[in-house]
Amino acid sequence: MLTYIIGRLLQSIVVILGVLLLVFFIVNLTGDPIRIILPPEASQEDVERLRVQMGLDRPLPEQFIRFIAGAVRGDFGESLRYRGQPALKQVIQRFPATLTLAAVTLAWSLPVALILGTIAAVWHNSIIDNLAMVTALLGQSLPSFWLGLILILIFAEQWNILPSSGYGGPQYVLLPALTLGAFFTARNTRLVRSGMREVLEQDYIRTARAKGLGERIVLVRHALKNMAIPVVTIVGLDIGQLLGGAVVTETVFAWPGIGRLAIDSILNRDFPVLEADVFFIAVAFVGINLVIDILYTWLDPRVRVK
Amino acid sequence: MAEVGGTVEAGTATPVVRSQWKRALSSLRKSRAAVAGFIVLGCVVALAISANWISPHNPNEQVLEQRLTPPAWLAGGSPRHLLGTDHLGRDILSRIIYGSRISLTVGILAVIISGILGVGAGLIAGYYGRRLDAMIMRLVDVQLAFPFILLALAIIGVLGPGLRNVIIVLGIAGWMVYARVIRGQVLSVREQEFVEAARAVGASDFRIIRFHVLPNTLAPVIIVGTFAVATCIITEASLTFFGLGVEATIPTWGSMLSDGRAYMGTAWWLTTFPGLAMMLTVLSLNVIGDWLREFLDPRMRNL
Repeated sequence: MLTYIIGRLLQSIVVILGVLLLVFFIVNLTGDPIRIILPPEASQEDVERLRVQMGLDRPLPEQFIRFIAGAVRGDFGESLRYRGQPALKQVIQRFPATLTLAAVTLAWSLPVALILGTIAAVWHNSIIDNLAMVTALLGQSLPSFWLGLILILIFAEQWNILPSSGYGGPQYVLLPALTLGAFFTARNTRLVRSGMREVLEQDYIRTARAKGLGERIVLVRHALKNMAIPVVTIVGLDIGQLLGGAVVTETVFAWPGIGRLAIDSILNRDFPVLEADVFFIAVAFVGINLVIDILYTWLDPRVRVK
Repeated sequence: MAEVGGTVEAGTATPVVRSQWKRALSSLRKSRAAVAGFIVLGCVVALAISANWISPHNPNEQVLEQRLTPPAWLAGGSPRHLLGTDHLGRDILSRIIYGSRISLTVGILAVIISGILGVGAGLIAGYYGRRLDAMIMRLVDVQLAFPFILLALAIIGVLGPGLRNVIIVLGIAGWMVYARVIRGQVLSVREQEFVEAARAVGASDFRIIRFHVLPNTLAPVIIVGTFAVATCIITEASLTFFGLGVEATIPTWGSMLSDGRAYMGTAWWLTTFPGLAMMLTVLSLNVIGDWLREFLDPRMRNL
């Protein structure tokens, strides 16, 4: 068990180093960062000064080692837009907003998906099942920024009951959480349904029924318990994507999270912040996957043997 | 003898192919959703191809006196502009028709790029194994640690926006899924007896991969690719919506949505119709993908 965890941890570190390499590569090797940062009319003197200041006059391997050494200490340099502000600090300041949105989204979409998916699986091929599946398909096919616009149109413009964008009281989180949750609810409903159908076909369910247990007890005690592993997988997937994948929703609703920070830093050519932001999201994703994998070994002894 | 063998081979080859199509047709007949998906997608493709002839107006033609004309069935609407006009007096229907070209082109080309990259990487990783396998799979892990759109955004941020860059970026950002699926398939195919037999008669690595491994890995690639076209269409529109995608001079669904955003309260048709067009296209692709998965490979239900 411990060897498994240590092995998995080492693997995660390798992935994070790879992420750093990729981030470094994207920003530094696909062109001269100075040319991207400075306006084209900047004088040669300014270019040279900034190059020395940023350490870009050194050989690339040295730059990469410096970059890694800084990143390990959480130092990605100063924001180019807000001089004097460490890049990572900007990201961390924005994180609570992303976390709030993710939590509210999960809080409504996961229970809905669990209930809807289970109902659809139990009454397989019924009207309820078909209806749930059509809704899920629609939810998966809606581009989230368009859904956001439509919700703003209805709730903010037409009925005027919710703010169209911004950050503040609980009323601000409703529309973004609804938009963001639509896709997750749709996908999770389908995953729960297929997982549940698989469980319901197992021998132990037939045994439970054969020995005369009521359908409710079979469902709650035998079937739902065995859904724990697929559900953990789903939640892990969700959290990973929610932390970084809210780029679109956060931007549509002017929600000040780390996803919108990514777009802002690209539009403002604030590359240290972009690096810190991408790094933060990737580390969060890898960390969550690690936790999920360790949870597996605890939930499912078969994994440990493997 | 040799001649007889030849004719038998030729004789059996055709029925196998025909029965595949027959099987597909009979499976399609059972799935009304898939039929609807094919019809909708077929219409979108037809619109995109014949945009020059069927589009009622030039999509970039600005008639400022007629700006923000509502759809034809509403008060103030005109039959000249079935779905109304935008804030510059451009015909919404024509822009949607031309926009379908960009969406389909980006989706299909990006998927071809990531398919080639991913299948290549997956074949190498699965067939040669060991160090190459470990390296490629770590790379897959690294790239999977980024949300798709974030990676696309980061590369666009450096390369700069534009139609060509969007296609390249979406192609590069999406190869991992193919690599994973193909590698898994290759690992199982590699151990099959017919591959062993091919190796025993002295077939080269290339020949084994090309004629024995690759055909057996085609089904998952088609399935993954169908869903990926849908994802790419949405991602392109999102990028364009944020001003980081296709050039503003080209009519696209994403740019129509971002243009119409400022007029949402007064002129809802600017954002509603391009969004509906995109949703229908993506929906049809998803439905077709679902059907393909059921038909080609039911084991992939959880993919």
